[in-house]
Amino acid sequence: MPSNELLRVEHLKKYFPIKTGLLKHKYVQAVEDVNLFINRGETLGLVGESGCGKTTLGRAILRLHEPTAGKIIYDGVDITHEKMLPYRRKMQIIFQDPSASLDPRMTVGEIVGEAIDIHRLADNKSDRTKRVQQLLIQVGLNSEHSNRYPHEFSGGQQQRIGIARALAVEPEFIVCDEPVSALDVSIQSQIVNMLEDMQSEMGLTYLFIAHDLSVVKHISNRIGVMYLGNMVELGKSNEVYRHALHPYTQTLLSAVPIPDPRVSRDRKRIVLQGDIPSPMNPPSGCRFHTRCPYAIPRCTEEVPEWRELAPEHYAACHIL
Amino acid sequence: MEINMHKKLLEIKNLHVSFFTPAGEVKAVGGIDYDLYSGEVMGIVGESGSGKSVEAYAIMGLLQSPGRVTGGSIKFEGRDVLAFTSKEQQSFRGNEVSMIFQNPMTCLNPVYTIGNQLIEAVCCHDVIPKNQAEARAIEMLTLVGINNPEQRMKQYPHELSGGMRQRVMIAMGLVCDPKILIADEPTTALDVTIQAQIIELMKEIQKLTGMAIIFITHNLGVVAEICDKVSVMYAGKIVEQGCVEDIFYKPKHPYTLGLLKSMPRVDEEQHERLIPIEGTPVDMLNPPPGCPFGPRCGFCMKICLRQEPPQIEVGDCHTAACWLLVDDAEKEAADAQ
Repeated sequence: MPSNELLRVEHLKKYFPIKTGLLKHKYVQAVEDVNLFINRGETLGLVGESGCGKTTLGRAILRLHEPTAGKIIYDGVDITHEKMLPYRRKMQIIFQDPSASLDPRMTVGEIVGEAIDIHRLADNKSDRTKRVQQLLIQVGLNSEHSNRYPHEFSGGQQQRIGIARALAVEPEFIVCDEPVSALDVSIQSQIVNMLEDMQSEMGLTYLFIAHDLSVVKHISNRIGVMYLGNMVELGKSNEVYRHALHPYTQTLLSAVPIPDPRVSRDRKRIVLQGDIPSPMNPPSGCRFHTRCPYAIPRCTEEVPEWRELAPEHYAACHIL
Repeated sequence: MEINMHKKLLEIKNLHVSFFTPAGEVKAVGGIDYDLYSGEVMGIVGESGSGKSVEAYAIMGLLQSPGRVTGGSIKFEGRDVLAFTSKEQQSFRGNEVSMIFQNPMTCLNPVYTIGNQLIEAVCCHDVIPKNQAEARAIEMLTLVGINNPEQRMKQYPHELSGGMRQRVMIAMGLVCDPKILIADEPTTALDVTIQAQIIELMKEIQKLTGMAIIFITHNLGVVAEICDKVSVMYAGKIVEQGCVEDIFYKPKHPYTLGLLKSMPRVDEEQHERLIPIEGTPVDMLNPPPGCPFGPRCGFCMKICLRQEPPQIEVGDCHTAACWLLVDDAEKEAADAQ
């Protein structure tokens, strides 16, 4: 269904150069050859451990990082080399740390209103004020809050301000980069519910990045699992949970703590040995082979191909 | 396992800790009671600012100005911890109780090798020759599952990964063979697969050494996995306490119930909307009168906003502080006054 597709990413790569000597250059291969698509109105979840490139991928899609190679196609247009300003109205981002992503010297009204000014969305000053107030109410804050500064709010409220800012330009697509990771459990669920409500009311499309598999599985229609810059598995969230194909997904799932003592003490857990290798010199072949319990010699030599192994269920692994 | 057969190690009664800030007194811990028996893993759950770490710092005597214990008692094997001289406290820390912290990078000294720091910990508490201390350090590193311990002893903290550093911290905590290990969010800074490794490790070590663990965390999933008993804290108070099964399957306090309902579960079959706890956390400078959870509670009654609820026994070693559990709350409150 090509008309239904909002975003397509093809063979996206993002390398960060690091200087190691006078003339020597090394690269951190943060994102390596990722393919994905997102349909209109759906939520694609991205999970993986720290350093797996999920945030970099999210930012590269918005071209907050210029991709090293690959293509980003938004609504049928290749935007990899386009001017981004008109697309910033359609594509927005919510950041992880709400206190770090809000300017402490700007009032909430200025923060939320800035995008309205840049894109000239308000006809006059009173229209702008009205819009800002509406946005604040929409995210569960008070319209009087627009004159206050970010530090006067709690973490959950700050995240609401961040969301109001993203909504200010009436976007179609939002990258949610760990929007609830910094929040307390009781506040997390408030934000998750709000994101879900906004999606059903405004038909938003999300790329939801988080390391907490329970949250990602809860909110997403489909889940992509990343390991060391590679996408290792992608599929419908229930499919990925019930029939995880890739060994890494299986271990990740078994490592998630379940708040239920009987279930969590009975289940068998695959405990991975060792740590994540450095993305500066990733292992040859399949990047997971150094920790994979099923690794065969072929895994060390050959990069596994990204294949559709079941309907709409992709994975990259030799043993499948 | 009958817990009464074990020895009572720690007895905390009506502990109050306050921070005297320029803006006023913050009652971080407002009267908590619990007992810890040997061989027990006690989970302390709560959100940020609920006082769960402060309470542990009070046990360790690590409270820093402007924080101070303002009331209550902490007894370790019958001895009053709060009355210790600084010398007694030094030997108490490490030999009897040790603590591991959330962020292993900030707790290890970056300019000394792992070996140096471990040996220092041994020598602080035992007068033994250096080669014996070294052997002890290597033994501990092996115990926490670090390969090539001899090699690792020569490395600096930055050369190790986060999971490895946390293992080193655990080794350092265990080096003097304490009776209680206080683990303050030991897995929060780690990735899930590494978190799983550390939890497995702590379970193994607990079985091996039989020590008691106070496991402080905000993650109910981790609690379900490792703890025998759980105390749920909110705004400096223990709102519910009981064995792990009681807390998860028979929660009595609306806050505990709210926490359990608001968490998405990875094993949920269908998409169910989360039931959040409405409102925002308590402002500890101006806590509300009555039950601290009252303003956010879905079952809030008039009395909840006026008077603090008593601890009600609802089962075997299961208590909760909630007016809902009192048959005649008004009468009870009047009697208490």
